[in-house]
Amino acid sequence: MTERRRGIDHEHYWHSPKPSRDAWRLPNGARVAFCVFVYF
Amino acid sequence: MGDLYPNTRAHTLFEYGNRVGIFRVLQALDRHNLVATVAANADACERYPFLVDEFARRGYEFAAHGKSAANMITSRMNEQDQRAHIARSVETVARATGQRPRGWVSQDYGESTRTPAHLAEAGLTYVADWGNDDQPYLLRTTPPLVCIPNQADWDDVQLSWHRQIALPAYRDTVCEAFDVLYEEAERSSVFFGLHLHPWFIGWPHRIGYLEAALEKIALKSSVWQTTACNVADHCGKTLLGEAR
Repeated sequence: MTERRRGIDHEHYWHSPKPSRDAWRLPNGARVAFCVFVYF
Repeated sequence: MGDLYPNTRAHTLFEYGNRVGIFRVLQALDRHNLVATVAANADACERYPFLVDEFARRGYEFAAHGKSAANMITSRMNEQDQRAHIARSVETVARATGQRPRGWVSQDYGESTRTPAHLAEAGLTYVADWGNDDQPYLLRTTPPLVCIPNQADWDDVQLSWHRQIALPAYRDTVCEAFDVLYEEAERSSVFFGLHLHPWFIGWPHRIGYLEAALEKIALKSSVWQTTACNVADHCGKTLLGEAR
C-alpha cells in the first residue's frame, strides 16, 4: 500500500496562488473556456 | 435485509440515463450547439455502441474514465495494477470509439499519488480530477500533464444528489458561478466545466433546470465553447514552462 501523504503534499503538485500568475489568454479574446462533460 | 442482488433499484436508476435521460441531455446541448467531452468508461463503451455513435456524430470528444463505474483507482492498488487499469481503459475506449482518448477523468475522483505520473507515461495530455483552481495548469509530470479543473461544486450529482441541494439552487449555482468567473476573466481568462450525469439530470423533472442554466450562459459573448482536449492543447502552447 502506498504511503499516505499529508494533504496536498504531492510530488506533481505546485502551489501557484492566482494573483501571482501572468494573465492567461484564450483564443479570439474569449473570457471563458466552457466545457461540458457528459458522464457515460 | 441482507445484500440485494441483483440490486435492481440502483442498476435500473443508472440505466435510465443510458436508455432515456441521455437523449434529453443531448437535445438540450444540441439546442445550443454545444459540443461535449464524454467521460467514457470502458464497459459503457463496449455495452452501448448506439450511444457511442450518437456522441461521435456530434463531434464529441472521448476522455477515458476508468474500467467501470464500480472500479476506481486507489492507493491500495499496486503500481502494475494501476498502469494496467489505465491501459485497459484507454485501449477499450479507443477500440470502441475509433478515437484514442487524450484525456482522463477518474471514476469518482479516484487517484493514487502516482496516477498523474502514470497518465503522463501512458501518453495522455490532460487529467480533469482536481478541484483546486479555476484555470488549468501544468502538473510536474514527465511530460507535463495539463490539469483541467474539476469544479465539482456545480456538478449535478455532487450538488443535488449527494448534497441534496434543490434543483432551482442547482440552476442558480451554475449561473452565479458562471457570472462571477466571467467578470473576473476580464483580467485573466478562466475555465468553466459543467459536469452532467444523464442518469440524474436527464429525468423529466430535472432537465428544465439544465436547460435554464444553458439559456443563461448562451446569452454571454466571449465564451469559447469547446472540448477539454482543445483547452489542453491551448494550455500546451500558452503554459509550457510554467510547471516549475
